[in-house]
Amino acid sequence: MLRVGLRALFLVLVISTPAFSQLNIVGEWAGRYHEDQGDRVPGDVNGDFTGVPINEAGRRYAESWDVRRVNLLEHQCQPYNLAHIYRGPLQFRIWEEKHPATQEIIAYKIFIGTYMQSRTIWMDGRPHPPAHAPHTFMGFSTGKWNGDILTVRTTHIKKEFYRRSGIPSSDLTTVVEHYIRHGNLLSHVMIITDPVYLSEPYVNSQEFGLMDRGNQNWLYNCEYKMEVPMDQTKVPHFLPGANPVQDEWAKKFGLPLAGVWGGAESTYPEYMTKLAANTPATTLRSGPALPPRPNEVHTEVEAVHVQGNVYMLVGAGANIAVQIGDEGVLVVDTGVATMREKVLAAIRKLSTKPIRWMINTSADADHTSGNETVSQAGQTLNGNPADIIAHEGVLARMTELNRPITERPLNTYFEDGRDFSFNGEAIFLYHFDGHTNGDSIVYFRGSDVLVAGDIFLTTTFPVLDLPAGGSVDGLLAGLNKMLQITVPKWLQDGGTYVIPGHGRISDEADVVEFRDMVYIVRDRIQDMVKRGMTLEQVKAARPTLDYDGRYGVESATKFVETVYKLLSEKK
Amino acid sequence: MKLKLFVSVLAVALLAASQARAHHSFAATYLEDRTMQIEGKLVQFQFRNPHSFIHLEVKDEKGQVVRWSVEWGGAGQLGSQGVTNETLKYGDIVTIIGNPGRVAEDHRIRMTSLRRKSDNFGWGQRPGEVVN
Repeated sequence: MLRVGLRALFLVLVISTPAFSQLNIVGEWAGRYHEDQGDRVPGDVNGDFTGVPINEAGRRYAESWDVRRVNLLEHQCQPYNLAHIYRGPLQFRIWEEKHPATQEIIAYKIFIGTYMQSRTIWMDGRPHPPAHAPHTFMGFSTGKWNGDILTVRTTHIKKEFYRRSGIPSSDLTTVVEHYIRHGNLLSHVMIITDPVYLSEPYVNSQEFGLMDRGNQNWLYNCEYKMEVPMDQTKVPHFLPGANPVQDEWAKKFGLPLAGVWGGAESTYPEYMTKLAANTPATTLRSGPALPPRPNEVHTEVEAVHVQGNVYMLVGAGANIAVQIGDEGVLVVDTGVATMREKVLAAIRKLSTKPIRWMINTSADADHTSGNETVSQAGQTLNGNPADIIAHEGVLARMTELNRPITERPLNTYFEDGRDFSFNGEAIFLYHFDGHTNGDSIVYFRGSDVLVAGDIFLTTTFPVLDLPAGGSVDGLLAGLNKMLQITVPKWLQDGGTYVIPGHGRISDEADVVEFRDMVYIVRDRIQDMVKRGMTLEQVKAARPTLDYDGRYGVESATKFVETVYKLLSEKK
Repeated sequence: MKLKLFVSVLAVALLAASQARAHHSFAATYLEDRTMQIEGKLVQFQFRNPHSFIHLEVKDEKGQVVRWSVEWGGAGQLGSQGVTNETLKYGDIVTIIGNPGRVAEDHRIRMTSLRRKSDNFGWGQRPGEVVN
């Protein structure tokens, strides 16, 4: 009888236990550094590019890297990104979040002691965010158990480095991790794919031991300050071929420079034969061509909440910003003509209050062709169609192009900026001659959202519309102003959000990378112009090489041509 | 016992390394095989992460005052060595020895030792007083 009872009890217990029983990885883990110690603990010296399958774009970026760039305020407190952080000394803590009713694991949470980074690995099957979502240094992760191996895939990672010697990792990086537990050891394998800077996946592994006494973490109360008096608008970098320290690593260990720079080929055992034969030359591969820029005109317009009162409308060409509140609706840019009714419908879904104000960041058709529809649907306090505000350069350009009067901004300004209050927050407009001579950036102070127009993009190189008065120096001035306005949250993710003219929601870290790129490319072309190079020679020298895989070769060509023209004329 | 001591030393070293490794590579910023000395008036003490900085007003050969930036350890690392945000004060006259920056015009130095004139307070002479 007792035996029957015990059996029944056992069955009840088994039945009531969830069917899943994954290996437990919860606990505090600390790195073991017997492998790659020199790289992982003391860190590297200049010119250590070994063991990473960089392509020629990665090499160019690393050649240009001047470590003094981290003295710029926006760079000082940036943490390592996911593709990098496990390579340093660190401890991390893993715990589970379980569904209260089913006890299924919804997510693993990880706190990484270095830089105090927090991760969530979603286990509930949710999809990754859309392309227009903001990126973070730790990215967005989903996981799945395959037997006793936890496999995690992470996207939406911010640009940073694979190594502090300047090997870049782009914001298009995908990281696949495998967590494999053996007793009190945890093996961590990373497979990093980066179409911009790697020619093949970068695979590395680390071992971690379970800690009996945890919480030996580094409290990263980073505070950016003017460490070294320097012009914060000047980006330290080396012109191609002018890096004075790039061969230090090779010299230190008596290695051929070609091998140190060798990329993927030099990471295979067969390369030893080449070394032995004293023929270490390698050919770095180009990154694969960037997929064509996604069509920005969708079948439907989607509204995405950015922060505070501000939303971004996606799918109608250039990005549109909508601010809503008690006083009504304000719309920044209105998209392409074919989507204007859908733009209006999307605005109406956000708020049925009257559309009072509109702002145009430039005169471009993909930003302003819904002007008439949205304006006519709105109403100022005086009963007129919604007022369209823009710099007077926009009105001049639209007049020149014979755009209908109902599309033109009649409420213009000519000074450096203007401000007004609407829906309980101050709104600032700043004018720059950047993409055109009528560009405005718009800052919503209460919501802490900055709308950049085409001064900042995440999809292509800047477009300098020369007939419309575009200027590379003006564009840089606009980007520097944006960096003055943006304030990141503690740990450098979020804070002020930026809606680019085209592309995904961004923050200061994204803007500073774009600013650095524009500054560096301009400097390179300036140097070539000074040396009397023709446009064809400049193009052949590929001054945008390290960014081509990120922003596309087609827009690179146009960017180089326009910058060359502007700088040649200045000469 | 020896093993325990070794393990503890290793743990401390790794923890310190984790703090030091962050931010940037010293080797890339400074000429680590050279040293120089400067003396001047302390005008700012940034006791902070990722690294602390001291700003000194130093007279050059022509008698012109030049602002020098002296890089020190992170607040956590220095704190474990007994340094606080009150250790140095505005107006202190200090002598710094350290590695010069690779770019001379930056007027920067990575501190290896410090001596304050008024009370002979020093850093960098005792074991463990290093920035790594």
